[in-house]
Amino acid sequence: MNQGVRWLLVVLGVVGLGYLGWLNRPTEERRIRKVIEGMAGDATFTGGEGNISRIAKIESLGNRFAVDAELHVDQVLPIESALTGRDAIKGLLMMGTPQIGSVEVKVHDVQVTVTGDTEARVSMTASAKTGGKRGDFTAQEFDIRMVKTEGKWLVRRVDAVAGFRRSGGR
Amino acid sequence: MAASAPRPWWHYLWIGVIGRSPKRTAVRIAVYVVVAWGVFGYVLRPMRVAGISMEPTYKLNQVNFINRWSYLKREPQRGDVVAVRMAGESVLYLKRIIGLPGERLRIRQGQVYIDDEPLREEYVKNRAPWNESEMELGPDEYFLVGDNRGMASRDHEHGAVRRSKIVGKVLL
Repeated sequence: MNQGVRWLLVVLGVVGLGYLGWLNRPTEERRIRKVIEGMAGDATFTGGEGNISRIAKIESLGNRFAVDAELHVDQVLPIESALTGRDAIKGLLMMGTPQIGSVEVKVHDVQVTVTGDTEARVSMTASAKTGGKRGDFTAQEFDIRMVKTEGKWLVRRVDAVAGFRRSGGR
Repeated sequence: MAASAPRPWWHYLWIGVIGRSPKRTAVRIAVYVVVAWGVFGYVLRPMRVAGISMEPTYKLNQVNFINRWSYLKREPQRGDVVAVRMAGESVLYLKRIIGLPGERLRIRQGQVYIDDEPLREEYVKNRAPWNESEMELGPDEYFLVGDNRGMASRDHEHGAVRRSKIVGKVLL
């Protein structure tokens, strides 16, 4: 092969690899998406999982929230008002998880909008499927606000988006 | 008379799979791919039922299609089973339209009333005593509910949605 052609191929290869690298560069959107997907992984439990593993997952899930995080899910869960603070959220997770056998949580249609150097909004749908032959399936749309603290993206506020307007107002 | 040599087995496999004219087969495959991409990407969205709120009309794990073009020339009608988007279209609600824009709707002991007239619903086989106070639908709102009214009201997503949330009508 001609020396010039060989060099051209090498240059094209390097440019191609560079382009692929640039496409997959770790942007803030990608980092946030990874956090959201990680939350779904932490909230997924198999039937055979022991208590220690479950507690570790809840701990990991809880640590993805900011210290002053707010959870506004009273529209979809039997909770009277918003939950404030990472510890309160962890407490709720600790209370609810032992009752669950196996559950698979997935996130869909994650749309990330970075609104500032340390702020971002996420719109997404989360689905949960419990085990069993006629396993229950539920899905919920969420609006999430993220904040970057010490280089880490944390959940600052979660709002459950009501899909349907019921009598008595939204 | 010249006798032709027997052809190897792979020759017949080649003819069966590729055809006598590979060029024509390639064009045919390309056309099929483009048509399938267009039809299933933009017109008919395949879906699988994942909940029980539409039973017995649509059962768990049943496969169906959503026709995205069903409301291009006409508005959704009462009785239509439609898909409703959430944050996107990966997960959709499957519900039946029972209330149209501008109507007043209430549920008393499981019976639906539209503008004070009881609604006949042959598709409802079990009826739990649901109660919903009266609500008026907005100019672009539809009231959607599943056919499985035997389940508790709190476990069954239902209510008014905007027209823009309706993706299309169920095909089958």
